[in-house]
Amino acid sequence: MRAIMNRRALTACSIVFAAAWATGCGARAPEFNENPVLVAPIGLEDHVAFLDSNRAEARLIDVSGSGASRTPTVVPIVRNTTHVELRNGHFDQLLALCAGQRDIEGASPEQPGLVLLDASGKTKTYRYDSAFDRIVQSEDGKFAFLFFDPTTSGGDILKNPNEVAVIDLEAEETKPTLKTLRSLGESPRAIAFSDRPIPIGGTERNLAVVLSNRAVAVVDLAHLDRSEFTVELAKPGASGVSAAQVLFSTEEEKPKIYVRAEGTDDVFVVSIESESTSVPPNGAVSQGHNDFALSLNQFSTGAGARPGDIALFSDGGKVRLLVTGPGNRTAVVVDADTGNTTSVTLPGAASRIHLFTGPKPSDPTPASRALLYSPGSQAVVFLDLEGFGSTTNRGGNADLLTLPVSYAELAELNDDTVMFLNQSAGLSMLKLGDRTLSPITGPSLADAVPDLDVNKIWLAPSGPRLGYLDLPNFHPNEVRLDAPIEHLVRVPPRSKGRPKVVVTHPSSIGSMTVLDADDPADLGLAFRVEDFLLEGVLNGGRR
Amino acid sequence: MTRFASTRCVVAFGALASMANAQPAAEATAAQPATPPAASAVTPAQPATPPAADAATTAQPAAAPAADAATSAQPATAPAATPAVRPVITPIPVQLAETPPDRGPASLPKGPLDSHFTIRVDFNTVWYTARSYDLVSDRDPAMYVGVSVGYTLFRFDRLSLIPELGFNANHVGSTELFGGAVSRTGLTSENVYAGVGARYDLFSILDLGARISGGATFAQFEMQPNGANAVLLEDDGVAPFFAAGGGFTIHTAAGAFETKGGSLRSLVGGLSFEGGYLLAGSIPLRPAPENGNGRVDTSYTSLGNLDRSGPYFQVSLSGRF
Repeated sequence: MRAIMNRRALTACSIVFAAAWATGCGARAPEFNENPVLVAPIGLEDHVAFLDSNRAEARLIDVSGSGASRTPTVVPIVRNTTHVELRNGHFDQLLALCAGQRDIEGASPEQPGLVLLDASGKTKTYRYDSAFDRIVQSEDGKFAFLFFDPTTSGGDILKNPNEVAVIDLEAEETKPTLKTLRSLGESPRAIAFSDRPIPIGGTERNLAVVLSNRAVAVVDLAHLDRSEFTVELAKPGASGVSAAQVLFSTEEEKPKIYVRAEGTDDVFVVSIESESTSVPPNGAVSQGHNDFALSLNQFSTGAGARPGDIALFSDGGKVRLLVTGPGNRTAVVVDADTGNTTSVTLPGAASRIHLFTGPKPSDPTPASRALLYSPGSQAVVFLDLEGFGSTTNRGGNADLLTLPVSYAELAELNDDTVMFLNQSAGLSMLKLGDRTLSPITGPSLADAVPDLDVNKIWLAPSGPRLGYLDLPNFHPNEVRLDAPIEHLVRVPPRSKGRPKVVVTHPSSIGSMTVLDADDPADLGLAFRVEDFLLEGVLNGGRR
Repeated sequence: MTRFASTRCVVAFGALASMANAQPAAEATAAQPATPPAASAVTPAQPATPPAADAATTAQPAAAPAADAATSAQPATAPAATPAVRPVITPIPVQLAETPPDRGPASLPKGPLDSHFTIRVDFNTVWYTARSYDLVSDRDPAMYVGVSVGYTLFRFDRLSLIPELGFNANHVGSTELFGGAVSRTGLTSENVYAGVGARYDLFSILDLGARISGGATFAQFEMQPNGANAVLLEDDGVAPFFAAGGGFTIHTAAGAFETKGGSLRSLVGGLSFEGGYLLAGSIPLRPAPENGNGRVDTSYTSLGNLDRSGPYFQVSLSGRF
């Protein structure tokens, strides 16, 4: 009897124990299931920032000084970062455009937002409802313009493609100004900010130009409550004309906006009239509630020119517009005040313009000149701009220079040197004053990164070797790292700090090597930080 | 780490062996209140057998007067400091001087004997409810398997105090963490502890118990990141812990395993259930490759602290002898 009781008791206890063990399972916390999804790393004043779009956080790692012990600062941000860039004019701040979280099963909804993050980890978030996916900043970083990329499909989300958000990044207010631009059936394609304040009616103010097909819209950033100007570039029903490039000119009697459009041989000049009139003059644009008006002129660059680039230069105190016409191998200079245009046939087709001031082999006197080039070709053309079209310089003294191989891109290194990245492999350095070429052979260098702060060009082909070129003497060098290179990040230093360059390595949990940018070959000055994407995960990941 | 664990095992069982060797001496000096008076009465007549030795050296008020007389006959115990008193010489009874006849095993005393040693095999489940433990396990409960050895050092009526030494170990792991960024993690924990338990004999087959213990956890953590060139990251840690709990033991009746030959009289088998709380120090984790780094000075960031406190429930198979 006692034995039976013992067995029953044992059985009961075993069942209780098994049930307790089985039911007390718990579940893995959600943060241990979320995978890091990084947007490209970015450097900001002595730090590297890794923004994780999935885990809604930014990890800032201080790379200044020496020694490998690094603890990331983890800052929560808005979920689903789609784009990140440095704030113009503020190397200690970045802007992260985030789509937020749509309300779906199993996820907490979150409004989209623009996050302003500084190197110390402080954030400022601008919230709005529409998940804008494009951002353009003014040159001084004061304004940010958010809009929808017209090339992305709408998906199943309702959106107004003409809705834009304008954010004053220096204001205390964190609520953006939302506007729906008047549409001619098109949506914004790009934004251009005035690079300096424009004097209008005794005050200086910034303007933004919204480029779209067939029209541009001019927005007064000082009065966002007012209607924007809409300037039609083509008559209703015309197609194929789309605004592509905008330049602002403030050094003329009347400030002007120069517009290049694709699909036309004309260039457009919008003059800003400071006087407010109730009835717009002939050819002028309706000014709405604005205290200035716009008038539009257009200038032909020649049949079939198809302007590829425009640039403003000063010639004898007057502002001139230089236009390339790759369609008919011409270069055209436009005087918007007089309406005169001067066209010259080039020895080779050129679509892009690089202005510089300097000597040339036959004339040591520094003067305003242009280098005209066309990505994909082997030729470049030098033009003298001073007195262009005059008797002393009727055709611009076009001078053709042929490179050994075709190039894909031009990058300015300093006032006298530009770099051509070859389409196939290697690069060429061009001294503008001497008009001499220095070819550098090597692997494909399409991602070469000029770093003028340390007079180097960083070359990071696949593999563990970081190449670099010293600009003063074009001396190539390389350093072998312990792991393959994934990204190269320039880190703006504080004024007195030693500059650093960071390379990231393929890793699911974070891996990077920090090198002294002045002396990258000295690995004694380098250090490596590993696993930083999991820093502090056991404590919630926040510091 | 494995070598270290083996060393600790050797230490634990070495201690056990030492205690086992000390058993006869301890038994010889321990009070035996539960010994039946009948047995004590018989033992003086059998000086050659162990029970008789017990009776001869143990203060037993119920012992026969003849035994008292036998001890008084030892010269070393005579009151030499009182020469004025003339000693009284009592004749030794004849029957004590004679060698008792060998009556064989059948005549040995039978019945249960007190148990002093306790050996347990423990199945200890700790519920790690802290979120940090999710790094190494998808489940909150983690079962440790171990052994412990105790010895009944004090006994007061039905209450016994039992110091113990123990060891247990556990391995947990998890896979596909952080969306696959980490392919697997693992944590091996080895606990070495000392404690003291109190046992109260409630019924003949049921004891109540309470126990406190403290010790150290030797943990080995490993993490395998995903990726073609990813290397295994490891870290070791040591942290103290303290546990307190209570429960009950269902056990066989005293003498249940006694054989016809009278052996296994003290053996008692039991099944224990105990609940309590484990207060454990957290373990900081900063995993790194075992084989060092490359040419560049490398730092590995801290994952944080692995919290290890939580309630526990322990089932034990025990044997007392």
